[in-house]
Amino acid sequence: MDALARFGVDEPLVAKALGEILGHEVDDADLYFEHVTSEGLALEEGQVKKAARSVHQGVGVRAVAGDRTGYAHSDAIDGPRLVDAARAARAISRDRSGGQVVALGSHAASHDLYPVARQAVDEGLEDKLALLEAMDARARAHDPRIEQVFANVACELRHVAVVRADGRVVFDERPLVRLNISCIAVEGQNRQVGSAGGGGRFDFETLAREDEWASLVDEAARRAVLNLSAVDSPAGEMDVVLGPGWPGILLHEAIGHGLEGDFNRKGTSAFSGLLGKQVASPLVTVVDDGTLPGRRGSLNVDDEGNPTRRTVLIEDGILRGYMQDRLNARLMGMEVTGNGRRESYASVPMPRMTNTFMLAGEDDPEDIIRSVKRGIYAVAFGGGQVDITSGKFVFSGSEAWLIEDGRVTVPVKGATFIGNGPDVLTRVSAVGHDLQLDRGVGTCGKDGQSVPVGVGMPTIRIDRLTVGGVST
Amino acid sequence: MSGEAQAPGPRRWLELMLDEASRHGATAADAMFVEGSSTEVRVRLGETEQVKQSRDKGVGLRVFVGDRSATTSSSDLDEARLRALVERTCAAAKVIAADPFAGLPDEALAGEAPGGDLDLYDPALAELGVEQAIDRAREAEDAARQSDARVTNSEGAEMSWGTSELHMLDSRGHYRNRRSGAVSISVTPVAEADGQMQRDHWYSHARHLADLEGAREVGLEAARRTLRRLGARKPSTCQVPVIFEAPVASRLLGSIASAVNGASIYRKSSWLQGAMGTRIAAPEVSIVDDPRIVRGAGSRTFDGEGLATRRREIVTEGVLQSWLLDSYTARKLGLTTTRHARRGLGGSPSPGSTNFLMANGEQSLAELVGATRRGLLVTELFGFGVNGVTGDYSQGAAGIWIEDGELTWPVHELTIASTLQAMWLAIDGIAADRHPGRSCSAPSFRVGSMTVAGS
Repeated sequence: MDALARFGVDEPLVAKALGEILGHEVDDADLYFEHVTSEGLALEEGQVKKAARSVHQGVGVRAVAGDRTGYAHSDAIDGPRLVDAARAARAISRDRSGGQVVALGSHAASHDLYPVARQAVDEGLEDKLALLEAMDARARAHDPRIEQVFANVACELRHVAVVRADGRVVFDERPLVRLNISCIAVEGQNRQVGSAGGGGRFDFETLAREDEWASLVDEAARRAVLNLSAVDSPAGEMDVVLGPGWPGILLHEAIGHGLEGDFNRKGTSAFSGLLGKQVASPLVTVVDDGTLPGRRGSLNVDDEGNPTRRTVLIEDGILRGYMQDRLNARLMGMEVTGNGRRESYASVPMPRMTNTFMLAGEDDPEDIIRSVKRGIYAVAFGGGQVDITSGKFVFSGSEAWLIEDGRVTVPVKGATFIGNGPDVLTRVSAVGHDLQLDRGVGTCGKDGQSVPVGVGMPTIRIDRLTVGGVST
Repeated sequence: MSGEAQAPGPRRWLELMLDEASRHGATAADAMFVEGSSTEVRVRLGETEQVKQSRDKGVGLRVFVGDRSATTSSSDLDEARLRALVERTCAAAKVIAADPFAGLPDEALAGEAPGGDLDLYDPALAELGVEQAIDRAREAEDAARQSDARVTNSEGAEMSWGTSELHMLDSRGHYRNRRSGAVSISVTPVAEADGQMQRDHWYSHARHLADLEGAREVGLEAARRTLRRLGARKPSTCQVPVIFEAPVASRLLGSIASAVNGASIYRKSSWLQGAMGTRIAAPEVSIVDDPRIVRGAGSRTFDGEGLATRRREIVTEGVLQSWLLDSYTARKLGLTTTRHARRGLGGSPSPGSTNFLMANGEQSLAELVGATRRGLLVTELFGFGVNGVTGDYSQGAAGIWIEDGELTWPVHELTIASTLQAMWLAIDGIAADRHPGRSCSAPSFRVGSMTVAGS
């Protein structure tokens, strides 16, 4: 329990604050303490001209009664503020008079997915500067047409303590590191951009491994140069092959959000009421797994202190499960799945994804491409978005190619894909054996809160997806 | 700014950081202190769903050691730890690259008093009670739910409000402060018919409680926007004129605000690179950035570097007139700052728009639709298909199909594509319906031709 000292509180104070809430008629309550150190360095014009470091801390206090949530947070953590916050949070419930005394007990997190000996935020700046400069040099050496290089390294260390209504206190120490690079290639008036990034919950040494960063640089530079010769994307319905890895963003947008517990409890998801029904081709199995070591979307415990786990969302095409936090699981009479996440102490937890991916199938990726007469082969994406209620989702390609007579021919630019979540996966006609997870760049936004996530997918073929290009 | 914010508490932290920075070799520095509180209530299906109360406080510091700089921020106001963080920041500044363009703003500009009272702080917001707000949110949601039997569900109604105080001090002794507030109400109804479910939303935002649109009006508009989407189908792929309704036209206007940002220009990563002084839009298009609108959503008397703000013409009759610049980007480009620095606690200043406004045309949206034989009225845009470097544009959309000058059936699961360069030049009709309460706001307008992709 000494670990509470990091947050400027001790056991009696925390027990008192929790008691303030539990003296009211509540179904659940928690205190979430957080201390985050982050550091960012950015290179442009061949030099690292910016360094930023920040320390943010605070506490969020939550009381839940039925489907009502009271939440109060403060970045000043002292006795009076904490008790004030507890009183503000419990205002959604009725007094049952008489304080409650709770004995606190420390519990180990259920996993140890990101053990790190030296945290990246504690490393000196010199190695980070050297890494960015090496990336810049490699990108410029890639092709004389690379005119601009932007690279940055971001490191974070987040300590959290979740104090639950039953007195259980769970601690977690979460590293998160990330490298990003963008290159601009120029040929006459034609300027094109190529980007790549990677990272996860590990140390700086792992992030700075040459094979890792060099491949990111090569990917960004190659993509910028490639886009110089890209032609306009065709528009209309056509067969689409998605490459392995990051294109798994399709799953995140098309079905992931629609399978979060809150939308289904409220009946506002296009997937509401479809549990046990066929929502995808029998070739498709999709899981959400927060327990993959070192992954950007992984957590030892979620932000409500629940153990993370692997949850099967779709099995052989049948909808099997939702992702749940405590409130929605309780109200729906379902299991908590360790998906209760929040952006920070200033945010109310919600059901969120961790690492969401499709399991490998049996097809050869080459055969999948060969099977398409005329279509698009998309290997990299910018971002995506979904309208949960209508089920319509969209995602935008940053590297895509034309497929003509079973062969990948010319690169196309500006391809956007739009579809309908509940039926897009029914049109998956081939699943490759080449499952890959993304390199660790995903950030998911919901209701104004951003959290790091992962996605993954093998090569798949989708019959008839709408491609939004300019040439008809 | 309205009245003097309470000193000297915040000033003490600013002085402490500047002194500590100077002790560790900083040759110049500027610091900021922000303190705020806010409340948010959410009602769903008539019941209180969430009440959230926030109190935030934090400091930010930028130090210069000669022409090298580094920044830091913290919400941990323990004096010893803060001093240690300042020391670490000065050490960081010493190891990163020298940049001859870095530095505080020119002294001649920094000395100019911001002046004026833009009335951005409403004392009534501090008095607004949670119960009152819940009642308003409930009234808004009720209005939406009762307006039509097809409104069967709801993602709820929300009301949020808050006030904050900002204090800035630099090592030359320039001190600035302001107090401001904001309040908003929003509703997201869900409607259902013939097995199809749709949602949409509407909101109102204001600096003063008295300026907020009525809860009932917001709820009714949210319901109207949701109901008109029911029965949506997928259109055929074609090329037609596209009318952007004011809220989505404003998003398109945002693509100009990003493209004229001095940071994109010196990085040579804007689709408006090299376009200064040239025609970038139809002659009917004029755009200003005006930070000095009384009670304006994006208004401020001084920018993120403490400089007195000024109205600025960005596009006049289709011709590009100005970038948005702060001191750094201005020096990089050999120009003068337009006093558009924005600065959060955590980093260096960077340019940004304030109230970025496109001028109204002279007709109504109905007239614009009436003059369109066959086309698309876009009411929603989604996705990330805008390439700020090349101007390539391909976005997910939903809207209403136009046949013979009439709105017919709703459409969805479609994309619209072109390039930003071509779209702005092809504007051939502008309505007079710009929403007054938004910080980036355009009237509805029509783009002569775009590719619509559907089935």
